[in-house]
Amino acid sequence: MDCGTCESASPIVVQTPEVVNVELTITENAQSMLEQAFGDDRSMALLVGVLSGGCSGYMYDLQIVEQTDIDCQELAISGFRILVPNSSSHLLNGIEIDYEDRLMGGGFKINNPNAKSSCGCGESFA
Amino acid sequence: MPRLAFDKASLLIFAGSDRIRFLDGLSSNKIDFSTQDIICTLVLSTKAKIMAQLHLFMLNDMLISITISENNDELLSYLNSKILTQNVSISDVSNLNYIDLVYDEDYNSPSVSNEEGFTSVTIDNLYSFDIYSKKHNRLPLSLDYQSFIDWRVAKLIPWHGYEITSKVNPYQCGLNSQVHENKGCYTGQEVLTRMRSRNKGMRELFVINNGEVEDEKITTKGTKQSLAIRRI
Repeated sequence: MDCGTCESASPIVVQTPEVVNVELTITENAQSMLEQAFGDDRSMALLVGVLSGGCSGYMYDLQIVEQTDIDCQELAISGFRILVPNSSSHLLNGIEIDYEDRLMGGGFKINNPNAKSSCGCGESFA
Repeated sequence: MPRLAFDKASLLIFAGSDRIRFLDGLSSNKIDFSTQDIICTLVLSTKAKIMAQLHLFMLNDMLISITISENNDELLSYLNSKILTQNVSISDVSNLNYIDLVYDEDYNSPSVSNEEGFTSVTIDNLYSFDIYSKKHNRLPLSLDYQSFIDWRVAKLIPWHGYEITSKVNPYQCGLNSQVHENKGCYTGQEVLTRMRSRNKGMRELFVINNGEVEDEKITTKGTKQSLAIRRI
């Protein structure tokens, strides 16, 4: 097999979506949960990302980080640092981060106006 | 062992530290090379229709996919749009290689062999894909496609453009073995899980003698027997 390690084959050019200046909101429920998670340490940030996969093609990925190597835009909302990767910004503009307090299926939820559909558990969207 | 040109397949190389997780999240089978050398998996739409079949194997640290899709450009565009922040890159080396389909041979087990640039990938103990550089002359090919069809009917093997199309899901064309039932979320999984739990819409591939059913119900017409799909 010719694997193209010579100059004759180059990786397919990855389509880079246009970077959008993200605006997002955090509900009061979500804010109080973030208060508990962060405590007084506001040097940490909430990274709101998107990965491939899930039932619908894209999955939300929430992480608490101090910093990241990912190229991100940083937002300050209600005293919280929010990081959004530029490569996912077109998928996350306009989202609302909510928190549902339920024994089953509860947790952070993202309401996304860009999603054409979402899976039952709410973790993935298309 | 007859040899057919299989030029409709493309050869993709996945690189990057996130490549396994990337493919696992987008396809129906579990991508775990600790238990098997070759993994056949399906890229599905959100409605669980088949977009592509990938035969994945590792070769010298490269993750290679023999990829069969009705529209390769569309597939690459779809995969590309899912990379986002993940460390994944895709190279298409189809133009550098011949892909031949070799069938009707006794194989012991699924395996990958690579000798002097000639790579052979055995699928399901039934047939193999031979991959070699276009710098070499193409090996002599059989032109008897009907023999391949008759062999496929006898072995109950669904095929692209016949049973496997973008209009069906894996359970409707005999590819149940390429759907992992417990791996967790992947695109199209909810639809398949619902079908399985409600036992609705499930079909199976079967062999019939020619003349037993109307021609329009036949998906592959063999010389004496044919393949068709029926509801379970």
